[in-house]
Amino acid sequence: MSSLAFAAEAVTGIPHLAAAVPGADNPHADFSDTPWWLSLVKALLVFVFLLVNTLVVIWFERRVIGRMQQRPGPNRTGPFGLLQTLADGIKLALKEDLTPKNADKVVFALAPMIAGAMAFVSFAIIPMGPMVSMFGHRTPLQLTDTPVAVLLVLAVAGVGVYGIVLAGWSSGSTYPLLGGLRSTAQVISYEIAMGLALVAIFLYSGSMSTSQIVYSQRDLWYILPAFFSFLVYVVTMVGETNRLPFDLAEGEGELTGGFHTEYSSLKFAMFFLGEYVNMFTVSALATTMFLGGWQAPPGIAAINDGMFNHGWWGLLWFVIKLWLFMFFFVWLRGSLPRVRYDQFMRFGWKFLIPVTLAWVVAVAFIRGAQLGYFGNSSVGLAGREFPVATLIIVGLIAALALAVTWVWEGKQAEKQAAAEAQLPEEIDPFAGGYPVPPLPGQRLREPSLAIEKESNRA
Amino acid sequence: MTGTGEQVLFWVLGPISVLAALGLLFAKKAVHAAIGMALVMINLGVFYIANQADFLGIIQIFVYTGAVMMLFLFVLMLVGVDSSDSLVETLKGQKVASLLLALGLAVMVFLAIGKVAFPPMKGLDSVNAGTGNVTGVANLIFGQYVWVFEITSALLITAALGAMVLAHRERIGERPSQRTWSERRIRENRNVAGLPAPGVYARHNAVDTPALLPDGTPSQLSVSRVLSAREQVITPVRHVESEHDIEHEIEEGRDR
Amino acid sequence: MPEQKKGGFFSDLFAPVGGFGVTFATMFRKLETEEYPEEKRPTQPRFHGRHQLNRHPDGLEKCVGCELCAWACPADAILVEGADNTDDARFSPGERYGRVYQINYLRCIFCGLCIEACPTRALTMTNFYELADNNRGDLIFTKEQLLAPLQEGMLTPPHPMVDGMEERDYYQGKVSKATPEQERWVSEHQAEPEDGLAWTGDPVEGVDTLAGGRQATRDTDKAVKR
Repeated sequence: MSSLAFAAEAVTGIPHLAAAVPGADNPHADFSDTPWWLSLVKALLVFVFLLVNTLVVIWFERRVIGRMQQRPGPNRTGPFGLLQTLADGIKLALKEDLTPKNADKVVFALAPMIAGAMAFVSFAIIPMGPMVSMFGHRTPLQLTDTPVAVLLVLAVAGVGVYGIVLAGWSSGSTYPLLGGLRSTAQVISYEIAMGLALVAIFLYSGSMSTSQIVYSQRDLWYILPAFFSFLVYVVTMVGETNRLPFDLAEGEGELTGGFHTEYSSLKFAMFFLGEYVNMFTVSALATTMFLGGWQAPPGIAAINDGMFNHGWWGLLWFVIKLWLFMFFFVWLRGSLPRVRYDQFMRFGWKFLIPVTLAWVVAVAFIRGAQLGYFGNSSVGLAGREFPVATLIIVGLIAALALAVTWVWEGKQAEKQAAAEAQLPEEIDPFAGGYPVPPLPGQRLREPSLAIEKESNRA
Repeated sequence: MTGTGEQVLFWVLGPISVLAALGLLFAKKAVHAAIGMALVMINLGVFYIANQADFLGIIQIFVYTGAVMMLFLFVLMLVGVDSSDSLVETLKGQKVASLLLALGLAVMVFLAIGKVAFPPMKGLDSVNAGTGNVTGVANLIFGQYVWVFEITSALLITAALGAMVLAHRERIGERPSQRTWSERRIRENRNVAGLPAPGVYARHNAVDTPALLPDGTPSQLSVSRVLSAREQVITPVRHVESEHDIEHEIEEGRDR
Repeated sequence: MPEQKKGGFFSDLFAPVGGFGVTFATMFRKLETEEYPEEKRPTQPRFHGRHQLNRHPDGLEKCVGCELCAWACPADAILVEGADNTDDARFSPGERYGRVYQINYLRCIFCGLCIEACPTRALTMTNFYELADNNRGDLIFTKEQLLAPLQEGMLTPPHPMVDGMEERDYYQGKVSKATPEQERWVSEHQAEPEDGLAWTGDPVEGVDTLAGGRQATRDTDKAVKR
């Protein structure tokens, strides 16, 4: 077995590659001074943070969408309509809780609990700030961290989907079943694309631990080198959370509410809550992966030797970035119509996944060049050192992308020209036996002219 | 030595796993069995994490529970909703034979495992702190066991391709678009307004129940040809009778 | 096919996301929403609001109980019962008056056909539209809720016509206000009406529905107390 193992290692060259930084997987944050009760306090704080943010975002969304549609949004309950969410919550709690006769009672009650609980769990590993002192202990502003933290978010999202599909099935009627299955298919398709987009980030930072990823963005936020991952991630995060333009599971016109049709009162509120908290989780993940987490923006970070990057300031920047993503979600909802299901699935499977795979391969090559596997020479330009290998790889990839785009555009133009060429310029309206009106741009064959031509020929 | 936290975790989740597994075996509804299986898989993931195999545990939850079990659930929901197993034996003496053989296998497995002696626990602390959990797994997968890994993935790809090929239907001619359908219908002057919808009765409506023509006969156009070919179309007699019953009750109530 | 205008490079590049610019710019546009109970848009002069039964300048009602409005109503919302004017109890110039007059605002469609049918211009529509309520009874407006308020120089019926005047003179507008003889007659004959019943036994006429808040006017913005 050892000769085979040796052959295997020789083929892949693992011993060379394994000379990377040891222990780079592990979290950067230091949890040594965090007693168990402090973790409990942090868990409670995270829970409260999410709930308060949900309350605010519901109000925010309704007001902003109202303004985008040139109307005020709720402004009756409380000043500026701030108590509207409270009123809605109380109304939902006091509504009658119906269980359909054909419903599977246990699963019917269990499904919203799964969906709601899983949404909160994924927020446990999001770093909201650097080391702070709480109650006399130095602790990171993060509930926990593991070497596989980001995968935990994806895994928990996968379990949360069970809530939706079980809700659809247990309602005992067709609309929820169809809506639940649709929604589940949507979420797991876009989960794959999301994971692949994040692989590029893992390649750049060398770890899947969120605090490590934030730490490795201290020089440059990953939105710049991994911009394509960012674009793909933004599309998939909207798909994951069932928000417009991807909210086919709840499309009222098509499915009268989809998987939550038969739900009322607090169970419905649980789904609602789960959806909004999911929005927060994916936005927080995007902030962590692409926008440097809790770090201050580059200009402000330089002030006073990084004063704004310490302690509780991190929470401020984190919340600002989180709410930028929330505004983006609301903006999307206000601007875009819903996609059709087959268009959506085709886009996810036939476009996003292959292109993201290609991107991951490209990033692997770029990282390989950066880590010096293709040689270590570098060239100096305007006072900064640029490694030659990286430049060559990036140039090659850019050239390839341009070539592909050029070929594709040529094919599109050909198709369009072919479609246009099919229509004749001049038609005889009575050719089919009955009169046919001309399409825009066509001419009719004038009967008088035709008769003249015939008589001239005769 | 296992710490108290881990012991509590094990003794809480262990019985839950066993109960879930028993649910998988004995649940009446297929979906309940699937939920039991998903619960077992989640618990397995948690046990792997408790044994310091972080990556493995998370992947267990992500891939198995999140993707594989989800597909199981899809199939169960769409196909096996009403079906129940028939407990009639088709082979003579099958129950007794299978029971004896299963017992024999269980005894053999227990004897084999019972003889195993483990050396004292090393744990993954040194590896996790040294090369890191994920890098360690990567070193094994792409280093020592790369052939096994690649051959297994080739097997998986072959299976996926095989499923696609088996389910594929070769198209003869291009797929008619909505426009072509509409033109065809109008040119042939048949069913210009579209086919009739399946029947809707007082207590039932489904795609396999035909609608009734004005003279009371079921309309073959209102159910799919595929269902007719498979003889899965049900007669609406029962539903029509139940409609009459309902009308009868209403009349009675009115007279009373 | 005529060539579509080709935009510049940047407009083509950002064409798919042009919609976002529209929604973003709309956020900063002035709102046209009117905040209803605080700001109310005034209605047009010929607005079809709540009905009003008008009076002649001396206080006699114009309604003669001819029931033409009830026959004209497409929604069957008006109930009219006429009665004879006697010398002791005269409510309108001429022979008859509308003794019972009810409009059911749950049925009324505010079409105005009853206004077009009324021969004496007794029935007109005001601009009052805040008629929402939560039970059927309160939305059947009776005569006292529909009568126009008493103005300067008007006397509450029942009282005789102006001396020497006939019905024709009232219609030709020759009566301008109540005469002192009429005032004298009223102070002699009319007891203080109790519980909304006049001394003839007929409902209401003596009660000043305006001051009691039981009738809304053109300018009221509060709901009518019943």
